[in-house]
Amino acid sequence: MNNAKLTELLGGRDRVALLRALFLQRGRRFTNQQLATHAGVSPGNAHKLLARWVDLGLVERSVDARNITYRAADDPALEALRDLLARSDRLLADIRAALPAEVETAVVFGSVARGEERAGSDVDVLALGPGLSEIRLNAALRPVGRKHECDISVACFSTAEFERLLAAGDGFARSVAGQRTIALKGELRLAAPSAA
Amino acid sequence: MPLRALLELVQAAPQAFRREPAIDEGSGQQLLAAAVQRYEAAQLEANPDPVRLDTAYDTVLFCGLALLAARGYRTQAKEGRHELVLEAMAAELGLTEARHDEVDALRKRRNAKYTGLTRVSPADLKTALALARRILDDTEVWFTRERAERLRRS
Repeated sequence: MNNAKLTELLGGRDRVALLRALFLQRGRRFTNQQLATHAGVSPGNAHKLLARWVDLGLVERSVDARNITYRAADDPALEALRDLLARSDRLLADIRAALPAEVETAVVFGSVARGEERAGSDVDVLALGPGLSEIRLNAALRPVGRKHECDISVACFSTAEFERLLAAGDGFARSVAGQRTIALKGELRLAAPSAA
Repeated sequence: MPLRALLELVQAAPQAFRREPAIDEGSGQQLLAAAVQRYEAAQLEANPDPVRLDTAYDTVLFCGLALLAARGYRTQAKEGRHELVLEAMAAELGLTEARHDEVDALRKRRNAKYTGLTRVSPADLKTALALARRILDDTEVWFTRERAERLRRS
């Protein structure tokens, strides 16, 4: 099942991102802020959804002296949900596994990250790292594309080069940095462009 | 999906290939010489990197055209013909799927120039030149082997 179908079924991108973070890392506890950052969702929306999911028994809430944390509930009836999320995540997991070690940061952007892909949509990946060859990286991801019957298109830069493009107002760099992404490796933390 | 051989590709996309009795191994040798010229141009550091990547790609494409000519085929100006030529070339040379993936990724990288992406990284240029050299070597070996086989039969 692709992201677009899952997004439609679960009622929105934020829900998919939060449930994916919670249910695909079994047992991991998150503070609201950690979960929001991990899922790329606003803390306010994460808080609202978590409160509802705690009431429904989807998520367990714990309070200790320092933090309030959340984790996916252990209810066996939720295994089907976990499986559904994992299936939708398999393409991303395969891309992640095929990335060479020299990739420092990689994210999916474009229609897949927005949960708006259609049959035939490319999976767009931005990879940052020193000395990356776009030709080699695209070739390395071809078997993943064949397995999942989709085209995977990777754009490569060094982090410094991408930051330079961003600071120079490059359309592609600004578009990627300003949109929702799905983290594959590392985090897309870019130096903020200096004010003009 | 395994790589398709030339005759399978001719059947699958007859509009992209034309059988021409007039072309033969001699035509193939001329195209191979053109591939060598392009590889030499790709190596010239005086040329801008995008031009060097382009000519490295042309080296590979001309190797494919040379192999097709040696088998008595030309391509016709149809969309997607480069992809078909490269697949036929890969099958003819017995390339692995991983190597063919690199060749096709080079084709896509080269085509990015039409969408305004003119920057070529040193890593991509290095990859393109190494790939062109390798395909050129494989094609030269193929022609040598074919010639020896023909002499053996005659």
